[in-house]
Amino acid sequence: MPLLKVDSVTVEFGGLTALSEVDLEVEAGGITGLIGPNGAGKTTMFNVICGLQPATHGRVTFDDKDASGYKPHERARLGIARTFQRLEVFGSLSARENILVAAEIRARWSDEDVNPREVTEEILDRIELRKVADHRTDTMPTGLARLVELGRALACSPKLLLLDEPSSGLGDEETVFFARLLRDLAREGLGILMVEHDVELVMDICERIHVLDFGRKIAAGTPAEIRANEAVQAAYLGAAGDAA
Amino acid sequence: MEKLLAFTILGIVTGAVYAVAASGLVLTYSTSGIFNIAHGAIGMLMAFTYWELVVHQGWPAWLALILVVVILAPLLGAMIERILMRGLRNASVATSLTVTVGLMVGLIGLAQNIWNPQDPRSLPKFFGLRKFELGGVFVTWHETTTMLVGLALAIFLYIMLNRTRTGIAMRAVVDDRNLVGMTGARPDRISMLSWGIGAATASVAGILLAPVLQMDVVVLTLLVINCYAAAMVGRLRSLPLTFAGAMALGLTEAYVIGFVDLRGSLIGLRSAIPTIFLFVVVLAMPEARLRAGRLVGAVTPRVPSFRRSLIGGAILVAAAGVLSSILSQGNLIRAGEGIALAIIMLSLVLLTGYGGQVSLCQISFAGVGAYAMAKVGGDGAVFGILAAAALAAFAGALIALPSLRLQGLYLALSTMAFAVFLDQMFFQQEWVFGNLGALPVGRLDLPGVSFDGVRAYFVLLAIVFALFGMLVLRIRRGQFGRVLAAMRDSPVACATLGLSLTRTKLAVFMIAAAMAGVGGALFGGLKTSAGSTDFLMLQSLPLLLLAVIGGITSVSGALLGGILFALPSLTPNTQIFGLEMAKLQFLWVGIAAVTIGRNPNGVAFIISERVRKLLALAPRGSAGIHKPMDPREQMEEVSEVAPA
Repeated sequence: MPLLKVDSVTVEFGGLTALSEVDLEVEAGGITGLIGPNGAGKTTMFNVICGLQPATHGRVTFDDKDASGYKPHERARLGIARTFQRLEVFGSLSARENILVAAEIRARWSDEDVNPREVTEEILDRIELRKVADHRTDTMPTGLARLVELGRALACSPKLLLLDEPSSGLGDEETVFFARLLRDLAREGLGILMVEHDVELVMDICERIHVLDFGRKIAAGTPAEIRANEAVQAAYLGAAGDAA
Repeated sequence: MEKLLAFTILGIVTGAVYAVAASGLVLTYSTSGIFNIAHGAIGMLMAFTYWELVVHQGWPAWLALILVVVILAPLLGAMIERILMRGLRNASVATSLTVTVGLMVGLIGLAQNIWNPQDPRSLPKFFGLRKFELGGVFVTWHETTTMLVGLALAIFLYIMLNRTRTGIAMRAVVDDRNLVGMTGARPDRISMLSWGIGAATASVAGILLAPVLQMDVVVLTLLVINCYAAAMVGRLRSLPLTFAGAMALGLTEAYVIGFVDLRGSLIGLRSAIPTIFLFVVVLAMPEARLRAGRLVGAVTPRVPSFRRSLIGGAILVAAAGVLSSILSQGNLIRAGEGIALAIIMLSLVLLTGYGGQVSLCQISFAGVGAYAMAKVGGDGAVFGILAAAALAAFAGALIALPSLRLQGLYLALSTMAFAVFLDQMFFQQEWVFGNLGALPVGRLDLPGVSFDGVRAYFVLLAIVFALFGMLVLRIRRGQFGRVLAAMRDSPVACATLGLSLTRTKLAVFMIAAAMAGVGGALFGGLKTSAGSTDFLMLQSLPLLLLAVIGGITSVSGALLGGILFALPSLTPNTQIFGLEMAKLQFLWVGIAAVTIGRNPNGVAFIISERVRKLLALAPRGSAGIHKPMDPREQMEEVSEVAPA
């Protein structure tokens, strides 16, 4: 049984179909990519998974539980954490406080007895933000703020991590560091689903990739299969190559 | 049967007025994203202007109508949009609400200064008392006009929004303002136009309603609550549903008046119908969806350390000690009122400044606290203070629970409606403050220490403020304070971390209510009585505004707010531009709030930053004032390499 199973999810906004009968699976301990052109429905899919967007039809099963009727904070307590494409850092707090508050919120709902301050310091080291730990996050460059969001998500010690364009704003060196960090996290058993425009990064670290186009899933497979897929070429990769 | 028909007509007539006003409210809200609390106040001002022209100056009605409805009101609306609202598009709910509340309070002040509220006025109905018979029921021409105006407006709005270029552009602005800008239409102009139309509808509603209801500043201003109740049926967006809501509200009111026998303590129920209607609608609404991508940056003042807050508190108490031996008894009471109100404002620092939730009923909580103190601690028992805190917290939960699931705006507006409800169903009821309208309230009597004298009581107030201030700062520095800041900055991220927003909001709402309750109990003790007119909704508004002017994000801001309240009454003869300050309170508070509303940290923050610079205490480098980053700048930064 996969960690996350999305069954034929459809989302309609008035007359517009943002997602149409999309299936998706994420395994624990693996990195799954979700790619597609702008407006393909990737962020909508994230919102459906974490409960911010109710699906018109379809089901989200997480950890063998039907999570479809759960509210966002209840899904978080099941073990789903995420970052945002448009930053949602707690701007008036420092990087350390951003992570600390997440760890403290988790300490309230979790049975596990952990010390939020210790968790915070561990994460600061892990994502290498110690140098800017006391800076307010609304003054940070985007790349760093994305790392803060990642750290904050990790403070919930989730089973599934949803990353929405995590590498945008990162430099080359940072992207290398980031890829290694994600691989390590997956190796420790975390399931990761990432929306990412950096195709090289996706091909490099994902084991499976799902491709959305106009709200429909047009392909799923290993990076090699996706690269060879003609529909994907036409819809996305070719266009992305041109743009680059 | 005839009775049913009569009250149905009455309901449709009332509903038509609500529909006219509410549609304007929806139009402005949906095209600009700003809820105009001053909508009723605009209608009030225009109705008074119309009265001035027709009754006082003797103009013909048609000429006055054209001048007011077609020229003055749209001009006022457009001016308000241009001068006050345009800069608020990306502001937080708290900020934009403050500005419109400021506008409302300012307009009330303006009207009360032009037209003395003591003089009775009445506005004649259209066509006098002429009427015709319909199925055995007499219908006046005024009522017929009202219905026809409602119908005409519905048709006008329908045609305009569906058939004209401007109307289609208006609907487009609602969907996506930036896209509209790209197609060459001018979103700013469209907003201005819709505010103009909105103000015109308010003026029409005011002129139609004033002859039936009462030519009264407050009564007409509170029309906004009925509009809000009607518009909530359409979730502040849909015009057809708003019309339906207005009709439903009008009919409900009419049927209750006609068929429900209201006596004794239920007599106030009649005027509470809009609030009850509103709460039913709110309860029936599905939970608000959280949306990402609405990051509101906030410049926040530093949080003083425990040591500093201790020193600050000690200075305050010492200053109060000195003042208590200088000021006269009368002035001590006035200054004491300022401190008591500052304690109530502290509750807003916690709720609004830290938590980002706006409440327009803190004075009502204070009143509930004063009531508890009067009943339990009439002789000054400590129990009275505890009862005040408990009862106010309970009231806070009662008010907050139905609306907490919704967004901040709905919560704030619902608190206002509930405050009006408490005015009628609680404070003005005989069983609350007795048939004299006031109860004696004891001054706190601790074992061994009595605060019976005004001087001692004044110092006590300062001590309580200092303690509460330290408590608020302690909360801010601690875990709960971090959660509050996180919730204010990004509710959506909080939810995805597993935080129950409802419970957090409820907690902060109850703590703030309890704090206001204690403030109210002490306020009552200062005046040794609490009465039915001491805690009306309308007094909550200047309170919020003064807190904002002082600085709602800091404890010193609340103190400053209290001082600003007390100063005009301490110096009653001060004249500015030949006008007495004390009389002008609503006006200056409103104007000040409108101008300062964009800086949520208020005067206290400006002063403290100035002082800091003067003393060169600010550490160099990053620790100065933090400016929030504009999301657009962030987008541009995407391509930049982040410093490691």
